[in-house]
Amino acid sequence: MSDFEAATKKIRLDIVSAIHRAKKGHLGGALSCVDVLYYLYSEGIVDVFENEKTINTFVLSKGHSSLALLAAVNFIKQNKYKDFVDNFNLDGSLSGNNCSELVPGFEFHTGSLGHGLGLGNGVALSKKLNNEKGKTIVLSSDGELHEGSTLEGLLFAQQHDLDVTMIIDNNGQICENFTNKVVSVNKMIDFLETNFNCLVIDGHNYSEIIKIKPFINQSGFKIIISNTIKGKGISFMESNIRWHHSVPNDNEYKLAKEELI
Amino acid sequence: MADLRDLFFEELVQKMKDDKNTILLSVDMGSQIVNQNMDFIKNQYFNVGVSEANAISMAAGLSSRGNEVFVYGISTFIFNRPRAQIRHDSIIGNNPINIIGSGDGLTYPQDGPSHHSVDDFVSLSSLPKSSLIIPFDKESVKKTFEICNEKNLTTFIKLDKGQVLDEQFNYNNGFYFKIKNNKQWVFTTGKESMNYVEDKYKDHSIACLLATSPKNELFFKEYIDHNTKIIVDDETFTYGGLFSYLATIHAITLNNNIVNKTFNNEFIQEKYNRETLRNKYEIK
Repeated sequence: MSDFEAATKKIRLDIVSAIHRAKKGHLGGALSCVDVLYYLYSEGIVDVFENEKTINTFVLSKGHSSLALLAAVNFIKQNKYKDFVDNFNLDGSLSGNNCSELVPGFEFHTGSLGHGLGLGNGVALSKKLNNEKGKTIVLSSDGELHEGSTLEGLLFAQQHDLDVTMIIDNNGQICENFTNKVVSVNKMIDFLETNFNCLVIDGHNYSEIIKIKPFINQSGFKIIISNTIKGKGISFMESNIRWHHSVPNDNEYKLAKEELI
Repeated sequence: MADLRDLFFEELVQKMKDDKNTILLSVDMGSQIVNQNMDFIKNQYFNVGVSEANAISMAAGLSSRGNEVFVYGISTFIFNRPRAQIRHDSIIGNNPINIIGSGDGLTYPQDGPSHHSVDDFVSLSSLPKSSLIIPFDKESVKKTFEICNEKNLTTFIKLDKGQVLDEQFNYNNGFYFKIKNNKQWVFTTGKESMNYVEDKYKDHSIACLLATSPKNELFFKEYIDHNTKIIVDDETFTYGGLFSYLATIHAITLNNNIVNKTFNNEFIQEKYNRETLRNKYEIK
């Protein structure tokens, strides 16, 4: 097992354990973006937010996957933020679905979909105006392509060639169903690929994930479509609508752990 | 006499000249004063197109990096359409911004209800760490910018158009006022209503709410008692407008027989079960 695979398995285990412990949380979307998230942080492409404004800024637009970000940051920081992971969604904790800036790693409070690109645009514009170095990366979802604000952000970022990278965690599912069965975003994905500086990868395949770094190092606005599987890493959760925000029972948790250890 | 918008944008442009950190995002809204000064502020001014949501999120992003940001659009569009962005990215996210809405009440009478800013008063003033500001003359424009400078405050500024009054008013805790009769007050907001009530209620004291704030209660405590007759005359809806806002202050400050066990205006970050949160945050 590679170091990358070992790390992402551990992060996935922390995610499932936290949600099993709290009896609430959003599993599927957290598991789909783990590999890309871990890569971004482990390669130092983005900075961990710890109360100081970051040079390479990360905006988690799909805020319901906050546990994935928290677990990845905790892994990178060698358990420095273990309490935030262990107490996720538990009484008295600040960490939970859609973390605020009071929780390490979260420079922006999100949770309402379609806001991240606009926030990222503002950060990148400020860096540009102030001649500050640094990348701005926004992790969005395919469901957020439904939001009109995403189009507004895309057009402005392109017009001003802002140094923003929008990563779309294209896991093919929204809350209630598969995206294509509700309102397909396929034509929008085609539009993005055709009209923007766009990289398409398998968001679970390390040999493709490593293309992210040189791509982000290009200047200007760009898009990464990261094709992923919701619930990735736990076979019975993969591409299963139930696991958007279901909580595993004790037996399911045991089965999940067996796949992740 | 001067035009209210010109007075406002003269102040804003001067602020932008003095502080290169101040940014103006226009949602495709023009200003003669801004255009005349474009050579001096061109790197601080962006027409973001017809995109209210992106404008507000972007303003919050700029604010997070230390910029002071003003966003300008038509009131009913810039306050209503991106309310989620205002609520999440600016208020909850602690990224204060200033949103300038063109239009107050019936500023655009011929454009119909899509342009009538009559229903946004309480929806805006319900947001914590914010102030709805409605300047009506030169002095109140200056006061508006003083309020904008307060730390961690998101502001919603409604601008009427046309010539302003040239009169002197006193100021106290968010209200401009003129006392004529201690027992009869008329309350209003904005330039047009001020012109109107001055003519209509010649024997009443007049109070014009410039800026919503918890401090507004102090004005009531000082000037209003159980025997004061109050008229609210304003271009806003009864429910959700100035009447609702002042009735709440009246109930709080005069201890009417309404027991308040709601929440203070503060978003809750802690995770607890619902019952615990309710007990912890309800007004004691």
